[in-house]
Amino acid sequence: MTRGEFERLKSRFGEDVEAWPAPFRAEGLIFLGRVSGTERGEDAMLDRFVLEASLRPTDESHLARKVLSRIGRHPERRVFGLLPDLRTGSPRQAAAGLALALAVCSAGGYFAAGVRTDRSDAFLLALAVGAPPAELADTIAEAEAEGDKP
Amino acid sequence: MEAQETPSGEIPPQDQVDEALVARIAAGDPLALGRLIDRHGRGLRLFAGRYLGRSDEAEDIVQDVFLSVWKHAGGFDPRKGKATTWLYRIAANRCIDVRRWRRLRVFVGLEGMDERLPSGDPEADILVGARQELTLVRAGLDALPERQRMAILLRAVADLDVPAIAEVMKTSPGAVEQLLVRARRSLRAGISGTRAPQGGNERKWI
Repeated sequence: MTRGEFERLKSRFGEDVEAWPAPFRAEGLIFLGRVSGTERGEDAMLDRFVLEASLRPTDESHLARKVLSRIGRHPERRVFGLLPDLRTGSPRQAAAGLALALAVCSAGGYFAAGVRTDRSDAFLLALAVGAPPAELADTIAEAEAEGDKP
Repeated sequence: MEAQETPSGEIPPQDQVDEALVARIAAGDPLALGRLIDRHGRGLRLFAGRYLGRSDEAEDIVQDVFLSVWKHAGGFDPRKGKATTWLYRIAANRCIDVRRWRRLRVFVGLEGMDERLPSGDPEADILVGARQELTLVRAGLDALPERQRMAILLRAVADLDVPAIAEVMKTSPGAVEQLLVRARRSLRAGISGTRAPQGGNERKWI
């Protein structure tokens, strides 16, 4: 940090370096060669190295412009508005979204194909318990005879 | 150096500033959001950048943090925690999500193994003067387990105290102490193990 940068920070955050937000506070204190009362010892020295190792130029005004422009932008209406945005959401949100989509598709398919649902269930149940082929045909016929939906 | 309550129980001025800004943001004041970004954008950016090892993702995360603040400022309750803790908690959660996504992308083959690892930052090396200790510390940070790296960065960069780090990481203060002890031990071991003797003027700092 140069003297000019330090002076600019003073005009941004005030004369009291201890009241600056992090990490400006630590950077200012390092520049002044000062340590606060709780910052003595080897751990504090190592933490300072960690801070210095993390430093790089940042541009807060650019960041603010980007954030404010995103806020000002009207959100686009998505076709699947109920689903989370898979590009920016977390894996958990994505998994929940996919599960929801699968559930909706399954339910839709179930109801769309509902005409033969009961018949299919009866057939599958008979097949699962190992009924012989002749009985499978009977099962379908019985289901139709019991008033299965046409 | 994290701001503590004064002996009289007063809230330090910097915390009052942040809480007042969040209250104004909740009321829909974009200037207050700009001021909050001015105060904490750098800290969040450095934290996310060093935790993830990738500056492009860090930039997106910090933008997302402030968008989240804009949307949810009304739900912030200063009695439950400080505004800075809240900000870093949002950032930490986003960082964890990004790392999970990265692992998933590696798993399904959309991303190479090399991209999974935090990369070095040669630009930063030049900018901070390429001091040997800093290069070693940076390499040591990249090699730390994720939770240890998060804890030490929240301490050193975000300047949070142990209870605040525990709140951000959703764990106990005791667990945070352990994470910090292990992280510092690993960093010291890495530095002392690789640093070549430099004669009598070697700096004693650990």
